[in-house]
Amino acid sequence: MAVSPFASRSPSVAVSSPNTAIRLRAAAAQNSANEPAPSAKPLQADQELTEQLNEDVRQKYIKGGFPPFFLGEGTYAIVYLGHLRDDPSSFVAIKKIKVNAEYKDGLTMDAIREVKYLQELSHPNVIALHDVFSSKDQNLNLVLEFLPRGDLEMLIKDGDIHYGAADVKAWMGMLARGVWFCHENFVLHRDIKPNNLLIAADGEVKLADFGLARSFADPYLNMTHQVITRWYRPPELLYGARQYSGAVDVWSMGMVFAELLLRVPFVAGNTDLDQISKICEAFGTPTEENWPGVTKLPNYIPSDRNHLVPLQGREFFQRQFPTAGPVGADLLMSMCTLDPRKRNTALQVLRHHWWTAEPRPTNPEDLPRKSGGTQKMGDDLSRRGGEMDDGPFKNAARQLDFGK
Amino acid sequence: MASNRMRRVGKEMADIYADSHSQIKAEPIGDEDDVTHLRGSFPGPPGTPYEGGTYNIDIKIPIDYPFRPPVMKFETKVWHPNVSSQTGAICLDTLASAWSPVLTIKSSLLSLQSLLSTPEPKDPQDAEVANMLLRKPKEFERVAREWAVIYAGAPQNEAGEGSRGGIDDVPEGAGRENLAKYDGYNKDLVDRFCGMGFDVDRVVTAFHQVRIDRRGGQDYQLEEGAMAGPVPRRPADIPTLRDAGLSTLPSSFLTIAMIEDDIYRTSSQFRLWSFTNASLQSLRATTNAIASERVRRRAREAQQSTASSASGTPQPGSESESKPNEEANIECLTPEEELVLVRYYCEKTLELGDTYKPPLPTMVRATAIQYLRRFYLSNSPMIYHPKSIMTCALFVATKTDNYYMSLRQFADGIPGDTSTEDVIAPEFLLMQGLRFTFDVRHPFRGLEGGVMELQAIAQGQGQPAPHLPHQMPDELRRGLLAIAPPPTPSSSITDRIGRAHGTTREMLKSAAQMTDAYFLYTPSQIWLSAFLLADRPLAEFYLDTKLGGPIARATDTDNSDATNPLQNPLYELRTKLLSVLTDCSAMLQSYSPLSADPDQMKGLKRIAKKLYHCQKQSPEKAHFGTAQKRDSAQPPLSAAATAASDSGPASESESERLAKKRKLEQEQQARRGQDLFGPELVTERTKGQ
Repeated sequence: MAVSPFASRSPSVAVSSPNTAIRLRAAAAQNSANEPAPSAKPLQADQELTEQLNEDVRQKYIKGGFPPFFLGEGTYAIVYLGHLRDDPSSFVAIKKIKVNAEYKDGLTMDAIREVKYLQELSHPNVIALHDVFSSKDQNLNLVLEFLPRGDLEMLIKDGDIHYGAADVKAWMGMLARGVWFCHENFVLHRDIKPNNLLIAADGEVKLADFGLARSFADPYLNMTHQVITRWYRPPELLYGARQYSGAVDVWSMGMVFAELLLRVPFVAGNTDLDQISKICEAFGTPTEENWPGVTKLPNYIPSDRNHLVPLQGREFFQRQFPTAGPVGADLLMSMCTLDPRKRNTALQVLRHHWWTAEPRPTNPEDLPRKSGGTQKMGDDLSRRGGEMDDGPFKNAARQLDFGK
Repeated sequence: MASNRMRRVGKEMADIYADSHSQIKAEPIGDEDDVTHLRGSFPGPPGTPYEGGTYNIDIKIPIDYPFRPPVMKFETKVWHPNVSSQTGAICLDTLASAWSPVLTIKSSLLSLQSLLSTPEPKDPQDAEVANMLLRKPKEFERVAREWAVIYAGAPQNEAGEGSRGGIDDVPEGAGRENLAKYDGYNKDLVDRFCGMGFDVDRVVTAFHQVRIDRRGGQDYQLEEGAMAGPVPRRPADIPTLRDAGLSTLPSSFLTIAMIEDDIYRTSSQFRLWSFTNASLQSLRATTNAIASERVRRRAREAQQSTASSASGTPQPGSESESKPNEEANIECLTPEEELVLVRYYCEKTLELGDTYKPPLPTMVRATAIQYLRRFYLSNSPMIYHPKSIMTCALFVATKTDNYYMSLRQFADGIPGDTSTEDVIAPEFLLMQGLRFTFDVRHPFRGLEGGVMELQAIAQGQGQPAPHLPHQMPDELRRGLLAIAPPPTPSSSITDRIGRAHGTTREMLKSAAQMTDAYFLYTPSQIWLSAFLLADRPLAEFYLDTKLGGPIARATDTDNSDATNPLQNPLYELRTKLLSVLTDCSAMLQSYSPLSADPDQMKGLKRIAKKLYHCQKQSPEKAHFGTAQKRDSAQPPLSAAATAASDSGPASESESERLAKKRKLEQEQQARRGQDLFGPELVTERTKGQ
């Protein structure tokens, strides 16, 4: 029989669990005449349990400073710096989801997905959702882990930051563990890219932005292919596959791996078509031989018979990514296999011997860091899923269609 | 997470206990139930100076275990470059940066054991020891052996070099004096406080003041060795390199896989929406009490304002006498009645899903029903009428379960005229009631998996269960074919599995949704219970493939460890599981649909009447949008009453108007109230077409 293991995910250790709160309130309701309620406010008989619980959660946090310290503002959300009321040194990021006046169908899908999946995923390499509460104006507030060291994109782009193979291995290891955990929970992230990989104070990489995430569909159900920011989108999605697996996230991971090594995006197409042709040039042209069934995909475009690029082998990856070493190049290759069925799963990635080969991964605390991370975190968290910061590729993956 | 941690540690300890081969041990240090502080032990590896010794490891399980590594240190003093000879601190990557949740206490203890046989002096925890190993390996071996004999109980004659010669040289005085400072308290205990920045004297004084028992609980037990034996010779303050960073042993990321149950226990369904029978009852009672109080208070307020406004009218007589009586006796719903009402709307949700073309997926409907049930754990139908919450729950479920349709489309699909605004108005309220957890773990996927496994066995392609690796496909298939036949003989085993599948699925769609099953049992337990009802011999066969048979089988003599029930932990597990499944089966079996039972329907009508009278007092169901804002959300009834009393001595016409208005409102609500339990949705639909 299931017991009732209410557990708090709050950063503080001493926060009472919600269940205790219910029980306390229950006791208070019975003795409200002679006993003060546990919270500062006296218990009101007409305040429902739900509201009391919400109020308790809300009272736990303070949006930091006067005026409230904005970390970022986007079309989708405003992010504030906050802290636990009882412990001003426990910082959190409070993401207030804007009520979208144009969207008449209630809470938006991005917000629902983000809340739904983050409530379920508790792992050191996935951003922690400590609490959710509603404020007076019916805005949704997500209390997220405070990640002051920015994101991977920031480090990749900054030429003054030097990092080596050991650092890449540490970052990739943390990313792979986060992705593995999502897949183990039947959740596809569907938007893995460097600026969704945030860095905590202790150097841990955290997978963030679950606005495009969804659970694995049952085998016969279709999913949309309009997900994942283009440069990180795998060929099967570009070809319009409606049934796919965790392999899509593994491809994105491979692209992040390549970008960490090269310090520029590896295949950066300007349009979806351009992206396909760049992938073909880089990794080889998909054919029925190397990817059975590819020609049946809805948006498959036959390539020029005279311009077939053979499937790239180990040597190509070793030549292209010398810093990874032969073992690292082998891992990268297994993550960038065109046929999603032959691509490594997140579990296989974790089992690769690159992780145990020299050099050892750097300790998270010793990884290169850069100032300005707090601001970057604010920008990352206030962005919608699939959105790019700037450039011509804005809204690359925004147009979701939810059809069947 | 805390309880997830307990379970996991408990399971790990059972594993350690079951495995006598590796000689690894771990047990709680103090209270048996406290698995956050353990003592592990293992024998020193053969062929090393540590051979023959037993090494105790102090293990602390952090709050977010298994996502953070256990904190381990050597309790037994050991002379080894990667272990601090003073504190026992360990330098091992798998206990720090290379930790992974799939590693276990046992695997960590095994790594420590192998660390003893592979010292890595280039990456030392203890610089002095490392230097000695690099420069005077003989001397290192001698000291290591000496320590093994003194502290780890290794026999003197083994591993040659271990003469006790050096020990007599120990300057005993210095050590004694040092220990004297601890005044008989456990050194580790005192040191723990010293680590916080206090000096020994102050800690010991404080211990005296708060009367900590020197020899009390095991936690405070003195280390016999430290007191009696000679103190190791070494200067007091050799710098040790803590957290030296680089690792010494190959780290393996994954040695075991997370099992389904571990994952379930991190879900919000388990964390927030799993209860015991008692806690569920008490939660419902509380919700009911708060709502009842509120309904009665509204009634009193209304009564007072009626009285005050009535006093202004010329003929108050009859009205003021009858009203108070009626309203003072407001009969509130009992928690049981609330539950029946909610269940009725859960059944309605299933029907409503059928009215769409194509019908809404089972999963969406099941999610919506669970939303309703969860919402009414902390909200009362007396305050929020289930009819409006129901449609909203179904719409939210389409969004959270990836069955996207626009609000317009959704509202158009509802029989009768329901506006988009009606559907969406309670959304926020509902989500708040769900405590912003949208994920529902259903038993359907588990059932599909189990059926696929059985079909594979029938085809002779069965896979052995993780705990029973000796299972062979042929043997499994023979077992399946040999099970007792069902009451009606079937043509083939495949058909039989298919039939059981269908029956179970129907049960999961109805009984499992309408009872408290989700609150009390895990998804696997639910589908297995339903499967047991559908075809008991088949379900029991399935359990046997996973957990072994009900009786000890003495056939496998070569592998007696796995089949002897006394040593096989699965046997006990099977018994336990069966008793849980029996309870759950009984719950599923007790369900019969309300609409199919005239008696229940009669009861429901009576509840509906009561509800109507309650809601008359607290008619807030139409005001979801502002329901959270206490200040602005004045229910129409009391608002009208307040307005009346504010205007002081009201004129005749005004109070008449007021009375008329009230009457009209009541009539409207009466109509609405009857509507609720009037025509079935299906007939409504035909009416609408």
